[in-house]
Amino acid sequence: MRKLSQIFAIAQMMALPQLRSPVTYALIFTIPGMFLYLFWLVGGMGLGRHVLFGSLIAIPMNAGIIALPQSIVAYKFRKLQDMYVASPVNQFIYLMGNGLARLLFALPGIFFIGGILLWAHYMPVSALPVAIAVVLLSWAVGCALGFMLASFISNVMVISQIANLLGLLMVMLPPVSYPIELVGARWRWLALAVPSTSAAQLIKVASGVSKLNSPPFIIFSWLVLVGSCVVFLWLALSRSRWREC
Amino acid sequence: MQPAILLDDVRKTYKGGANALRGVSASIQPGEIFCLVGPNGAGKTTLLRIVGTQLEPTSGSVSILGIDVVRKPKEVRQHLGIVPQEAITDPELSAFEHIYYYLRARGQSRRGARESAERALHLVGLWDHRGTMAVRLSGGLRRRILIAMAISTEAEIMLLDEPTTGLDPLARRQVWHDLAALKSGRTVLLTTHSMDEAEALADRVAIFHEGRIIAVGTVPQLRGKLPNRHKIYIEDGTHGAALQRFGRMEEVAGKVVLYPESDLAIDEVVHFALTENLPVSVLPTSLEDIYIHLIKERT
Repeated sequence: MRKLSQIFAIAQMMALPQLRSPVTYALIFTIPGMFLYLFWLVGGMGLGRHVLFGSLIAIPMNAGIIALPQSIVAYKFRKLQDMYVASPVNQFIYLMGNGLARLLFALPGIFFIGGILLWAHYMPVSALPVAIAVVLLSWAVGCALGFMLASFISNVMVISQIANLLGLLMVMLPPVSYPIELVGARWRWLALAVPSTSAAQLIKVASGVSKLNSPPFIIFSWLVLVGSCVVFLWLALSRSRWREC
Repeated sequence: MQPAILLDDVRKTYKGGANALRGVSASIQPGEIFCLVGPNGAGKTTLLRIVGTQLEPTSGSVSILGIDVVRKPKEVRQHLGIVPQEAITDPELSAFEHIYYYLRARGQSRRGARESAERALHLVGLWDHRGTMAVRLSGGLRRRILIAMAISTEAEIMLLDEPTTGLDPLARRQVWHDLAALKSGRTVLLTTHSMDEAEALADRVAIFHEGRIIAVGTVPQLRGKLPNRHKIYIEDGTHGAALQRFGRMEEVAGKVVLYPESDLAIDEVVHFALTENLPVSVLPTSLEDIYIHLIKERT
């Protein structure tokens, strides 16, 4: 319980400055917004709704991926983190607080997109438990991936650049914001091996939007999401150090 | 009595091969303000980061209240409050929020954190600015937020790395006042390259040079290392040759600074200056003089 409140304290401290800057909200909606506009022009809302499902994954996943890399860049200029290193705060609490701060920042975007999906009946209320679980898992995968990048790359600027690039690729290249049916049948398993695709697919199946809904695909998608989170986190924790050497 | 901080032959060589510390040993007693003075690059920050569990030494040992910082960093961190050299406050957090969330992250209860934060804000004179975002505060006040964060932990050991760098003279004195408030029962390890800061605050001073402590003691003890306890300023550099016989002499921006060999020489120099109608002043030697003397002796 004490650790949880420590994590929340760090999350609040890190999220507050971002939440106080309303301009940054525009950034959250820019990419999904542009995507939605383009897909709506090409295929109407039949394609456009896939963008909404994709955005529901993209927002928490990107929030997670950039959490630690951005914090490391901030450390380069601010050094305030040293005060936490030389304190009873351990690296797990700091990392979790850091990631949670980003999730708090992303929540308005998640609520907004989720609200549209529910309001437009693209997502039934019965799909909400799956959607919530998948959104949280997407954030966790993103955090774990960001922690792993930060643990393996020593150049501060490169960490941030790769995190941003990876975040973009993971939600734009695979079928996250477009139907997986557009991908050739033999490539679908490969597409599903990307955690962002698995996450999007699980919500789309729960909402009755995707026809790729046989149990093997669904089980594989859950395994990819949970498995990638565990593997990335294990890799990060095996390599990360809370002290320079 | 068990020392608060014990350094035993601490060495640090960075990956690139730079020797930052070349064998530092010292024993710092509980309740003492111990000051490391030296130029930039002397190794002060490296030593402080090792003591603060942020950096591992290459060899040697460091213990805090008898606990080894390399083997038991988690235990050591319970006793530490630090102000890093280059730490900058978050522009969009208020003075109160900085302290409150820091304490909450360290595991304090909501009520405890609020009370400690309020106490620290009063102590460093930031109470009137408690709700102001850091971005709207002066550099001196922002620095005092960091000091308040360290004070609020009520940790027994405080590590302060150049806490007044970049501040104007008034703000520096305000920070000195805050640091003096820290002293009640706490051990403070402070680094600075400002000699007057060390003189004003420290119980003992260690002079750092090229990764080693070259002298340690109280300011009067260190002053004893100089052959002269006074220096004479004569505001006319044209009589340098005539003054040379009275002691070691330096010319600084057209002024002569003379370190007389004896008290008798002081009388003679003052007499000489008054006869020649030269403005003259006699001052006690400062820590800066000791530092320059010791460095020159080495080089």
